[in-house]
Amino acid sequence: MEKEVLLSVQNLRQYFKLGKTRELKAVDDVSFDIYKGEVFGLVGESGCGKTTTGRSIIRLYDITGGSVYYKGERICAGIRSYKDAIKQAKKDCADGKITKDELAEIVAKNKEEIKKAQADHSKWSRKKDNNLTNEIQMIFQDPIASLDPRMTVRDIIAEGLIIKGIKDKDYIDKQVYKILETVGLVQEHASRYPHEFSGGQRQRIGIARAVIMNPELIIADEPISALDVSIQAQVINLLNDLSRELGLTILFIAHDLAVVKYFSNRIAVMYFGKIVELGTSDELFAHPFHPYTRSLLSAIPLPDPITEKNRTRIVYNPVMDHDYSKEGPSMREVYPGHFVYCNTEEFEKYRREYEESAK
Amino acid sequence: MEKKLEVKNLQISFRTQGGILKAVRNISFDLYRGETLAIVGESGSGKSVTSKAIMGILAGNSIVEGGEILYDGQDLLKISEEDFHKLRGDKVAMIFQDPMSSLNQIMRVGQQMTEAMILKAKTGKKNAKHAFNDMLKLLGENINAADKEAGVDLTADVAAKLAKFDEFCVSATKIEREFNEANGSLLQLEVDVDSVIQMLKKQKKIELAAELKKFKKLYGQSFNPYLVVKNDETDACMSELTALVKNGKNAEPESALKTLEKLHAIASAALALEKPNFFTLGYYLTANPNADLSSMSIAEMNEMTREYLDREFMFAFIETAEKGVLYSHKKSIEKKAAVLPELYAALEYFKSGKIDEKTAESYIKPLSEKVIDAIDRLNVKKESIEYVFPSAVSTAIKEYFDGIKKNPIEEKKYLKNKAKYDKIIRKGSQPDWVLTPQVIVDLDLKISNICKIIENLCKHYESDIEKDAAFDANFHVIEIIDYLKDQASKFVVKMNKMIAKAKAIKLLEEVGIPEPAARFRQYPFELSGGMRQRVVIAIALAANPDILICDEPTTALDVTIQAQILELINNIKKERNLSVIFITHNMGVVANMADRIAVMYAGKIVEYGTAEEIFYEPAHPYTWALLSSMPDLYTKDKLESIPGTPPNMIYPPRGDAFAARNKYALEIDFEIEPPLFDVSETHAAATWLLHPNAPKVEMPGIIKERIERMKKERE
Repeated sequence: MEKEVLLSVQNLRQYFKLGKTRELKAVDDVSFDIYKGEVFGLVGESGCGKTTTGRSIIRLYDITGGSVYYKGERICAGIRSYKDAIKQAKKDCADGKITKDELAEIVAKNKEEIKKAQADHSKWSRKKDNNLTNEIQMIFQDPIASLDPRMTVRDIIAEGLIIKGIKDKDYIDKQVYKILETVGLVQEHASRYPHEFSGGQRQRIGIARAVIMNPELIIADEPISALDVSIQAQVINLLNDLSRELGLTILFIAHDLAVVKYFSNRIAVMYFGKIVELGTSDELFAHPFHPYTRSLLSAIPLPDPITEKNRTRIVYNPVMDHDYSKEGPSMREVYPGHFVYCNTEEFEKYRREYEESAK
Repeated sequence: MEKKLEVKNLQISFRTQGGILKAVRNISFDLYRGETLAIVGESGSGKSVTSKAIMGILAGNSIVEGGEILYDGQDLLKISEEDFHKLRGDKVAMIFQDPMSSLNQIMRVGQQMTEAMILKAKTGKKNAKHAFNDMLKLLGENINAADKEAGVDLTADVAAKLAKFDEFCVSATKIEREFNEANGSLLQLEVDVDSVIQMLKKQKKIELAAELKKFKKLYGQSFNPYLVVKNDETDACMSELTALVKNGKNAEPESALKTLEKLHAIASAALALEKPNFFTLGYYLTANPNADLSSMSIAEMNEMTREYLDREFMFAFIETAEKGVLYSHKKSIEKKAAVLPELYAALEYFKSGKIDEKTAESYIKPLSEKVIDAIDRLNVKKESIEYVFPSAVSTAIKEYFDGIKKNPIEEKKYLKNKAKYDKIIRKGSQPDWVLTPQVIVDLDLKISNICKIIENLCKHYESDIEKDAAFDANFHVIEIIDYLKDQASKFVVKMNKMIAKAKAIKLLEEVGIPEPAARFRQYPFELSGGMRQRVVIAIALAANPDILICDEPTTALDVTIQAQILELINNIKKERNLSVIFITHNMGVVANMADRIAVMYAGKIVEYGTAEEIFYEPAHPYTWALLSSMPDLYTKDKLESIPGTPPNMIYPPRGDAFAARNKYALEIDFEIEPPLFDVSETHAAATWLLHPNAPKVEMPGIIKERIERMKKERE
């Protein structure tokens, strides 16, 4: 059965300007699909761009290039990459690399794209009754920072409904109480303020706020890393139950590999703004190909003192491990469903490795 | 194994708005040399408070209710802040959770690293001189007194011997000072040459002429008979360097590189040499000023000079000194024996429970004086229990009487508030303020604290008197001489900004920071999280501590960096034979680091044992819960989360604190707190499930499966 693609990210680029000339390529040419009903894990070290990816999808940032499709419709489109293309073409023309006709052609093509992108972009901004904001919700890392301390829990959870235009107070109350119970809190909590709750309960409020809008897709940005050990399991279990009961699709961003492995169906590993490997969670852990993935896996601390003490960590050094002088890398499918960022030579090597292990 | 640190019945509370919060409730553990003890538990379990108590950096609202932390014979809870300055950072160092907040953001990395080194060397010099002179004087007085008692007058002889001792110590320190100066220059030379070589190799632009000039100067200063010896090789290097400097700006990088590499080799070889024994060498050279030792290796020289010193002077000196030590010890034991009955009388009085302020003072005041008087001052290993007795006992008594005065007032206030509160409740509304619980001083605990202090001293005295027959004066004299030697070499420590810099750069290199010379000039915010934590570790190691406390050092870091930092701490521990207290809540990290594990919950140790025992045969339900609440790579089933949250320790629950969240809780758990039941010699857990009459309970399936799988994998 062909799975339905819910969210498709294509060639997403997010550059931040540092000063006048320098640029930080936080997310650089990232593409992936998220299928309906799955949990998609995004792992990587801090600063590799996983949070930026999540935020770009719900348009907390204006993306630099690429597009994001939600249920087949383009919800984000980057413009700057087209503008840069025009600039580059003009420069090339001045240098005499391309003719004027070619230039005109390129400019026209890119301008067309810009127009389209702008149209798509503003469509979602203007359309008041669009369901997009309801259907994609986010859970933030730090529950203390993401809940307004001056609002009661009821107000926090109901805010989305009110913005949506619902005025029936009884309906709102009913919804709030229902959702509180779903996430394991009780009705009495509705009148309290966030500071009166423990860390785990606060994160539950954050989840309740996201879930009340009946979203299809939840972007969970490190929802457990700010929590205590015993509370982490509670939140993971809750998210697990919710995704099963409500049929949610979750983009789960985290750096704890054991948790991501436990929780996700498919995992993408990010390194410095690029996805270096993508596969189902079992496959990825069984056959890690990219040296960075291997180094990550070798660093997971396990609750076993004897193996822990004899563990050797694999060190990833991008300069030493790859030779990209002849041919640059790109995303390739080593075997169905498992993608690795590599060049032809490495691709052949990975293929051989896979075939050997399959025997 | 040698015990480094002993924590006994530690109890710490915090004064908060809501009342007294019991953070640590009666915990005890030992830390041995070269081992890692991991303390595991969720936040609020008191693990950080314990470590802060060891460092002496508890918050201002903390109350140490009782207990002892013994390090090197000292009780860290009772020593003064002044004394703590000598320990903190020097003997006990700490790595904090968040490197960003434990580094100063507006100081360069280098400045922060060298600050303490320079300060330590400065104060150390002053103190050492005093200590040296005082000790020598005291020794002389005691020897004279002993002679007087024996009816002989050898004052002149003793004075001559002591003067001679002082004299050759001075000459020894002179040699050592010269050596230290040369050594400092050499250290700088090695580090700087290394960085210049790196730069040249990368073909970066540097002012080679100026650098070479500096190297020539430093190299010239490094010549010392015991370090860089003048010979053909070193002379050749010197002349090459001179030629390069003369050439000035026209010096070719290639030829300079060759010379610098030679220079670097010489410097590293010299730094790796054994240090001469300045103490014996000083004596030999004062006796034979024209001796030529250049043909000997340093090891041979040390051996020869030591024998010479022993034969010519030391045996006689020790014999004389023994008299003084014996005399001082005998006097001290006599005094102790005389004080002991008085101590017991005081103990009896405090135990009776009927005490008033005046009588208590009349007991303690003369006692304190006598205890101080009875101290054997020639004992280099200071028994802090004797030194701190007066202040410790008087504070304990003051706390008790303060409690007597304040308790009724507090109670009155509380009852008044409670009446008000109840009135509002009776009216049917909820007050908008919280009823603060009464802060009642536990008088019984205070009395038992006083008794414990006196009792401990009694026991200490008794054991001293018992050991009197086996008193080894010779051993004590040698200790005194070692002490004097240490002090003498402390006041010629050579430390300035440049040497500190060289040392800091070497340390940065040791903790795995690439291009340490460049990092030295950077600010902490310019570094990544892992690098920052490495800098914090380097600062902690700068003073060469005995005990390293790591308070969640990797929680703020990524998986890969976490693994690097853990590896680093493990390596350094092995190299320096450190004792490490590792605090964390991540069981995976614990498995990597720990030799022994203590699991804490609500201020108590609920289970302790070796790492293997805790991971393969956990016995306490809380340990089960901790282990099963996090998924590993093979977990597929629903996680066993711990329901609820930790209890509020302002109102500690009756019975077992974990009972309310524990699905294996028995009825007795809600009534009586379980004691620690021994599982094996090294393994114990505080749960009623281990009681012989308890029903048999299996650990959760998720852990059982995991342990079985781990076993299989190993086979």
